[in-house]
Amino acid sequence: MGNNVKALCLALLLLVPVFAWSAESNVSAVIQGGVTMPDDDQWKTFYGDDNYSHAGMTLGWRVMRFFEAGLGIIYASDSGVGQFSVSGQAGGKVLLETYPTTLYGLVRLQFTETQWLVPYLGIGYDKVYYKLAIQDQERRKGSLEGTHVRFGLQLLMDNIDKNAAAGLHDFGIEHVYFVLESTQREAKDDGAGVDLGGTLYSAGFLFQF
Amino acid sequence: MFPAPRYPALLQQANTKSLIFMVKMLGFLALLGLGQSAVAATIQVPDEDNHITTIADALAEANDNDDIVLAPGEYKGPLVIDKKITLRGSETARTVIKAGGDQPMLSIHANDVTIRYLTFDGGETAIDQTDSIRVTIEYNIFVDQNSASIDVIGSSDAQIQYNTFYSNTNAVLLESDQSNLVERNIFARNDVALPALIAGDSNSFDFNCYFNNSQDGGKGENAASGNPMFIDPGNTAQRDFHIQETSACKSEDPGDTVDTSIYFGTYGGNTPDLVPLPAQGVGASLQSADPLAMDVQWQENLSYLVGGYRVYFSLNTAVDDATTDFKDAGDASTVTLVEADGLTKPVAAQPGAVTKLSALISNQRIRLSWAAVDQATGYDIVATNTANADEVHTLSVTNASATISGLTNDQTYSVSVTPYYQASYYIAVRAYDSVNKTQLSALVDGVEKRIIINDAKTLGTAAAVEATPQAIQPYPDLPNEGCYIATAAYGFYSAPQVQVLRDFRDQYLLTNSWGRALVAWYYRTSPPWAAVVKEHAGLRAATRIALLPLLGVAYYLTHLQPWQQVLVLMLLWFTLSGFVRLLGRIRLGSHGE
Repeated sequence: MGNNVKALCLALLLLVPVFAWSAESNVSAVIQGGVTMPDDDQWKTFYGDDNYSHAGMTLGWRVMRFFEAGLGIIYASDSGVGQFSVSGQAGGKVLLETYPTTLYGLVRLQFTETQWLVPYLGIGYDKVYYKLAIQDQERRKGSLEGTHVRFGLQLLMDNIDKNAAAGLHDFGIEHVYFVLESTQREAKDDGAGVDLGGTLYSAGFLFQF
Repeated sequence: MFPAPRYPALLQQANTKSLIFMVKMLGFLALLGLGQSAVAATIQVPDEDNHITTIADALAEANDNDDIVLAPGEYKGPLVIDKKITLRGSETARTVIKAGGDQPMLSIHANDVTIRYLTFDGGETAIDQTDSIRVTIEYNIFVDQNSASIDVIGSSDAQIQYNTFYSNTNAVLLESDQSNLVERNIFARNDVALPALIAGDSNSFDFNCYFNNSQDGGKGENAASGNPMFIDPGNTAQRDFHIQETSACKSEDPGDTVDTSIYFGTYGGNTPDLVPLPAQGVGASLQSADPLAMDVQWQENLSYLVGGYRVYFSLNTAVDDATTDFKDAGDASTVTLVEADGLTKPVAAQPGAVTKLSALISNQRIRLSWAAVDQATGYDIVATNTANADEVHTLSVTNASATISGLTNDQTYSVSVTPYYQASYYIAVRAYDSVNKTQLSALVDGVEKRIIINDAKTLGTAAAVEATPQAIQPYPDLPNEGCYIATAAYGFYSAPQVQVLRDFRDQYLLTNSWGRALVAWYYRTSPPWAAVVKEHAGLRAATRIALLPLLGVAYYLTHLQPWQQVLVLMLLWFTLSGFVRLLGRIRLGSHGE
């Protein structure tokens, strides 16, 4: 599954120059933040809460009116405790930092350039880099591979303040959207019994150039 | 028709009165407000009570005419000053501003700003003064700026005085004809000290001292030149730009009322920072227990602003700012403290019992804490492996907490804490200034020594606790993907051979840019190879053999003491030279035949 998604996303990226003519504005950047609800149901036991915050950005290329491919990176961290290896008691401070990088493809249901609400659906290949700082122990770092499915709504902001929108044109920004998104990420290593997957709820702004 | 009721008129009258009253009150409050803003406030950095931890916090809080005072420490630019304020350090040499990127450390965009008693270390530009007038920059140190120490653009009537510029590309950049004054500074070892003065230039350069600059630029009037005799400018741990009595950077100044010999630079003039740098090279020893006498010595501070030294002493407790017992050593750098100076023979005391002893375990560590015991001057800690009585760890501390490290995980240790009384004197040396003799150098690490008066300890009642240090398993238990090939070859991550290679990586590769690049390349490219090695027993054995030389070098560098390293080198040398001789003999033998 992961390799297939990776291949599909790469193919979409490679097709960018071929279809670049087909859309009026081709490049977009999204800045977003939100919360991650980990799939792992023991998360709360060790981190005190069943969610943690994240922030990130993506760069997208609009291949055709309905298709977009892109790259993204997110930073997320959570601090909690570990457990002692023999007694199993909770103890020792732990700081987990993850940097999921993603290669994605989206279908945007946009029929006109001025459509005020654009739903979208996408899939992507993820490489979730991580760093674990453990009290009095060596740092760990590595990565897990994964995939994701995402769904979201993009609300065109241009009509809310036309003057501001016109001002942004001077900076090459054609449209600004407010974005609400939900992402379901799978990133686990069954052999090692670890899971960095979860559901991400994000909000942010999309700038279309 | 009913007559109009009277109350609206009354109400109207009342409202008018209320309105007048409110206007008066507002006017009064406004006056109060104006009054408040006219009174200069002093903002300390840091000031935890007011949530000010950085200069930027203080600048945001400050109003016009406020005074921002920085405690000794290291601060980061870039910072923007757009208010009429004074920014000053409390000790010039120990209040250091460093660059946080290529931008100027300080950008000044306001009039009547004063910057003083600060050290600007490194970076591209220290101070960028743009479109502002009457800015005073004085008694600062500027060192190692790659572009310019002070860049004055579109500004006039700046006073740049009593600063030291050392080893900068450009010390001061000025536009011509802006009526800026540059006087009584020291320019040493800069590429360019000052711009050339052109005909009709209204900038004024006066009484500056120049030494070993590639270009002095427009020297101006009354210039001096020669070695300023800085004390230790090259010591990056603590640069010392104080000047010595023999400095060439001084002149006769008839306007001065304090001293006819006026020095230039940061430590010249009438209002330099007078706090001496902390004493260095402090040593102390017990000369005699009865009568009590102790010898104390330290390194002489060569600054002309140092008037002498005080040797503080305190029985059983560390010297702090409240300690009042001291002996004035004058300008000597050694002194013997005797009972006549105030030393008192300690009286034996019996400490009580340790209570509230608790142990927190961690990876190869046990952290202990307990209630401080009356009369105890220290605590002996002994941790014994209950399964192996030969493994004993000992520690002595003076506070009521300790961490024992280097323990074996999953082994239970019996840990005892014994309080003791052992009389000792704490001795600290503080230099004082030559002007008022009241400005004392700071109490920092190294200026205080502890002298034990009597080796015998009076023991109190011990307490004991058992604890088992354990490794911490994080959640999720994500693996560390370091040393891929070695891990594959030796079979498991915690193999001692893999640990040796990790130690080598941490100590010799990750400490330099080339090594980090090599490690990054290895981590990028090795996982596929590691996967192949892991799958084939023959390859695992071959890899282990191939890794042996690297393992040997890594072990040699990371795990052997210096004497062991020398011994191994000698053995290698003897073996190799013996081998070469043997080869030579074999060749000679074959030729002889």
